[in-house]
Amino acid sequence: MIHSTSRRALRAVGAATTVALAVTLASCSSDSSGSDGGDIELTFQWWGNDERAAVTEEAIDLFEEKNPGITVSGSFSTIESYIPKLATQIASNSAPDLFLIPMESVKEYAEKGAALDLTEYIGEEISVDEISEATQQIGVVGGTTYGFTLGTATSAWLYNPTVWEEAGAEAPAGDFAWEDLLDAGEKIRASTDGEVAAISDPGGYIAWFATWLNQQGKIGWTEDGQLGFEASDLEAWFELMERLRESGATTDAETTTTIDQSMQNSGLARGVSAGEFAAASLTGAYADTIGAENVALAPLPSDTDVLAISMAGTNVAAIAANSEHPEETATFLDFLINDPEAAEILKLTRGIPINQANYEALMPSLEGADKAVGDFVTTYQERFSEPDPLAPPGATTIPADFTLAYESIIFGQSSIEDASASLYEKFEATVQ
Amino acid sequence: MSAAAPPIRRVRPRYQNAAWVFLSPWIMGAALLTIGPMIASLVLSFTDYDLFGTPNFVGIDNYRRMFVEDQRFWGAVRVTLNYVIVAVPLKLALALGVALLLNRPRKAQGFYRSAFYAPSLLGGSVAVALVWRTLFTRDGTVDNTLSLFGVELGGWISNPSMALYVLVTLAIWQFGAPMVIFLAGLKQVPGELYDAASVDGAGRWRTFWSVTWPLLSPVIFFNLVLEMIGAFQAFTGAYVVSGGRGGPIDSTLFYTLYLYDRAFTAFEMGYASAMAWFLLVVIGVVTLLIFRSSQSWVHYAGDE
Amino acid sequence: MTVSTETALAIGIPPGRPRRRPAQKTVGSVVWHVVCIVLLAGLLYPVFWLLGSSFKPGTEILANASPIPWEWTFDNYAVAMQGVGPLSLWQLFANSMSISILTVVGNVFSCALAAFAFARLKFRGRGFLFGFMIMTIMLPMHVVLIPQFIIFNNLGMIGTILPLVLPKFLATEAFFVFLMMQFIRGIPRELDEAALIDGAGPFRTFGSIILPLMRPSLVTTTIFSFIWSWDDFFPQLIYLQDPSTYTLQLGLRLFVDQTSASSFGPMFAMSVLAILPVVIFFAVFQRYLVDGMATSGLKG
Repeated sequence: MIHSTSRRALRAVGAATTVALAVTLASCSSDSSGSDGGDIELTFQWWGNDERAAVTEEAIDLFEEKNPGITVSGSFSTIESYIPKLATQIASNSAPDLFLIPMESVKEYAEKGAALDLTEYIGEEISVDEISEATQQIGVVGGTTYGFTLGTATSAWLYNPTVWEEAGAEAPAGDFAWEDLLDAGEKIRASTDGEVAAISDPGGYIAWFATWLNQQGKIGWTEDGQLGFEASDLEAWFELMERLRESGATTDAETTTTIDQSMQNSGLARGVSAGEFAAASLTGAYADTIGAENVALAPLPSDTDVLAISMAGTNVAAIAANSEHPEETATFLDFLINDPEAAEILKLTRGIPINQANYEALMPSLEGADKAVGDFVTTYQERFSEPDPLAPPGATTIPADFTLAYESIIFGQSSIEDASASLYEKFEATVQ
Repeated sequence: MSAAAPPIRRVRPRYQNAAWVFLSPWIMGAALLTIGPMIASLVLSFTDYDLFGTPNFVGIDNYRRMFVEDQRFWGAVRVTLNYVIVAVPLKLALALGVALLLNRPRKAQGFYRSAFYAPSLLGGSVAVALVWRTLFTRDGTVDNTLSLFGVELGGWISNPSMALYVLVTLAIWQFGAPMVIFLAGLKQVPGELYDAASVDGAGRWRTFWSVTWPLLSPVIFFNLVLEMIGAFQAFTGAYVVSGGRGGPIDSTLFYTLYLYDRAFTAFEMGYASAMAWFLLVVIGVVTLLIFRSSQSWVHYAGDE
Repeated sequence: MTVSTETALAIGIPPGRPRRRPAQKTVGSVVWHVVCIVLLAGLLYPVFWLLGSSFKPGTEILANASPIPWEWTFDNYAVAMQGVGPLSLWQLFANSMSISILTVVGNVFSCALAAFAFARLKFRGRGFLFGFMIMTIMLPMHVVLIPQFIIFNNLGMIGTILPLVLPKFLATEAFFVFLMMQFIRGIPRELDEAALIDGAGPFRTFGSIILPLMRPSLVTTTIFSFIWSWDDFFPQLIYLQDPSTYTLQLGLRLFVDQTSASSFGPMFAMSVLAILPVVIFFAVFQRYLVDGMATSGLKG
C-alpha cells in the first residue's frame, strides 16, 4: 500500500519534474526571441586577450551603428580554448556566422566544408581593391576564396639590445649569417657568466625550419600539397642546430624544453636568452614584460640574401558554411577589413591591416611597440618574400611532431638521422 | 500501517515504488544526458569521425592502431600507470594522516582545516601552473632547498625523467579533498568506542586499527576508488603545466591529455573515443578488483 | 579513568571526555601546533608565492624567484578590478556565484535522494544501476562532450547556464551519490527499523532519520560542489557564448593569451581575488563538519 507520505512525496517530485521540464522547454522557445522585429543577429568568434576583446567590441559597436538592423554578438577566448570550442560548434552544426580559423587548419576547415565559398561576395559585399594579391591568397584554398586574414604579421628576431651591447657583440641588422651566432653566442655567454644564450633554441619549431628552407629556395608544402624538401634538409637543419647548441649559442636542452611559445615561458622574457624568433606582433608583449628598451627587432639570420620574411596571415576569417545570414556576415567581414574607422580602432591588434590604404593612413599615428613593428616592416619590406602556401589538411599535428622529434634529439634519445627519417615519414603522410 | 507482531528477525523493507521516486532525478539525468552520449561515443569509436563530416564505419581499425601501431599511446599508458601507482597512495596517506592530526577539539581547528585545504582551492588554474613551473625549474626554489640537503637533481620540470614527479607533487599537494572526506568520516565514529577502547587499556596503534580503521573503512574505500579513477583520468594538471604538450618528450603525456590532443587537435574523434572506452574498461577492471577486495576489509555499520 | 595524552592525541577523543593533567595538555598542545605550522609552511609556500607575485610589477614576475617582491605594487589589483575587456569583475563574480550556488543546491538535493535509494532501498536492478552509475565516472568527459553538446543544442540551451546547472539537479555527479551512499551505509539499521516500528515510511525515514545523520556528507557535498564548479573551466568555455555570462575562471584566462600581450600581474591578482570567495565559503562551512553523528538518538 502507498502511504500518504509517499503520495505527497510523489506529488512533490512530480511537481519538481514538471517545473524542470517547463524551464527546459521555455528555453527552447526563448531562442527565437533574439530576433525582434526583423533584426538580424550575427555571431562572431575570435581568440585573443582582453585588450583585443575590448577594441573588437568597440569596432562591433561601430558596425552596428552604421548598419541598423544588424546586431553582432561577439564571443572570444584564448587560443588554446578557442580550438576545442570551435571544433565542438562545427561538429554540432552551430558554428558562429563569422569565425577565425588558426592558420594550420585553414585547408582542413575549407576542404571539409566548414567554411563558405566567398566567390560571389567578392566585389559585392566584400571589396578587395586595396588588398594585395599575395595577401588575398592567404585565404584561398584550391583556387577558391574561403576567407580573409584580419591582419598580417611577420616573424622577426626579437633581441635584447642591452645584453648584446654589454657583451660587445654587434647587433643583428639584416646581414647576419647563422654561423655568426656562434661568435655572438660566445661573447654573450662570456659577459653573463655563461647564464645567457644568444637565442632560444629555434630547432624544434617548424616555422623557423620553414624560414630556413625558404632562404635556400626550398619550401615546406607546395601549392598542390606536395613536399618541397627532402629528409636530408631536416638533417642539415638539425645539424646546424646542434652546432649552435653545443657551442652555447642557443639554450641547452633542459632550458629549451621549458620554453614554448607562450610569454610566461619565453626564454627572452625570463632572461635565459638574449633573443628569440617570434611573431613581430608580440613586440609589445615583450616590452611590457622586460621593458621597451630591452626589445628590438631584426630579421632572422640568413646564409643567403633571401631573408625569407613574409607578411603571413595571422588567422583566416571565414563565414560558416551553413550560416543563415551569409550576406550580412560578408558585409560585416568587409567592414572589419576595409572600413577606415574600424582600422583606427583595431590598429595592429591582429597584425598589419590588409587594406593598404588603411595601413598607410595608420602608420604615422603608431606609437611604442606598434611603431617599432611598423618601422621594421618599412625597413625590410623590399626584401620580403611571398608567404608560403597553406599547409594541407592532416598537417595540424605536424608542428607538435616536429617539436617532439627535436626534443628526442636534444636529449640524446634519438640520433639526427633516425629522428629526421621518422619525422619525414610524418610529413609524407600528409601528402595526398 | 498494520504491522504484524514486532519482528523477531531483521526486517528489510521493500519499497519498490518509493525507490523509483527517490531515483527519478537520477533516472531523468541518465536517460537525457548520459546514456545517449555514452552509447554515441562507443559507436564513434568504430568510426573515423573527424568532427566535420559524417562518421564512416571502420570496424576495429582505431583499436588496432591504438594497440599495435601507436607508440605514443603506450607511452601515455606507461606515464599514467606510473602516476596512478605513485600519486594515489601517497595522497591518501597524507590526507589520512593530516585528518587524524586535525581531528580533535582545538580552538584553532577551523583555521588549520582551512589552511591545509587551501592548496586544493587553487584547482587547475593557470596561476598554479605558473607557480609550479617556477618552483621546479633549475635553480628554482625546490632545487635550492634540495641542494641544502646535498641533493643535486637539476631542473625537474625540464628533465624528462623527473617531469612526471612534478605533477605527482602537484597532485599530492592538493590532498585537501580526501582529507576533508576523511575528517567527515572520522566525525561519524562514535566517541563511546574510543572510551571503551581506552577503558580496555588499548594503546594508540591498537585503538587506531581496532576502532578508527574499521569504522572509517567505508570512507577509505570510497576515497581509494575515486582517487584511483580520478588519477587515471588526470588531465588539468598536466595540461596547464606542460602547456598541453605533455612534454618534455611526452614524459607527462597523460592518457586523457593524449586523448584530448587526438580529439581536438588532430580531429581524430573516432580514435579518441576508442581510447576513452579502453580507459573505461581498464578503470572498470581495477574498480571491480577493489570492490571485490572490499568484502574483506570494509565494514559497514549499517549493514549488520 | 585518566587517558594519557599520547593516546588522546592519536585517536582524537571527542570533546568533553578526556580528563588530562594540565601540564601534559599544554606540552602536547604546543607540540601539535608546532607540527601543524611546520607542515603548513612547506605546504603553503606556493600559495605565498602566488600572493607575493600578485604584488610584483609585470617585469618582475618572471625574473624574481622569491615570493617577496622587490617592488611592491597594487597596480595588478587595480587592473584586475577593472575586469577583463568588456566584462566587469563583479559581473564575472556574479556569474560564477550563481552557477556555483545552483550547482550546490542541485547536487545536495538530487544526489541525496539517489544515494538513499541505492543505499537503503531494495529494488529491481539496483546492482545493475549502481554499476552503471559508477561507470559514468569512468568515461573521460571529452568524448561525451560533443554528443551532450548536440543534445543541449537541440534543446536550445546553448548560450545559457542550463547545460552547466541542469545536470546537477539530475544527480549526474556520481561522485556525490557514491559519497553519500557510503555515509548512509555507516548509519546503523536499527534506527531505520525503530522508525519503521513507529510507523514511518521511507520518506519520513529519509527526512527525519537519515538526512540529519548524514550531515557530514551533505556538508562535504556542499563544499566540494561549490569549489569544483567555481574552479571549473572547460564546460563553461564550451557552453557559454555571451561574454557577459563568463565566469571568473574564463575571465582570468583571458589575461594570458599566446597570440597577444599577456598580463601576468593582473592574472595573478585576479587569481587571488577568485580564490577569496572559496576560502571564505570553505571556512564557513567546514565548521559544520564538527557536529558529527548525534548518537544520543540511540539512547532511550
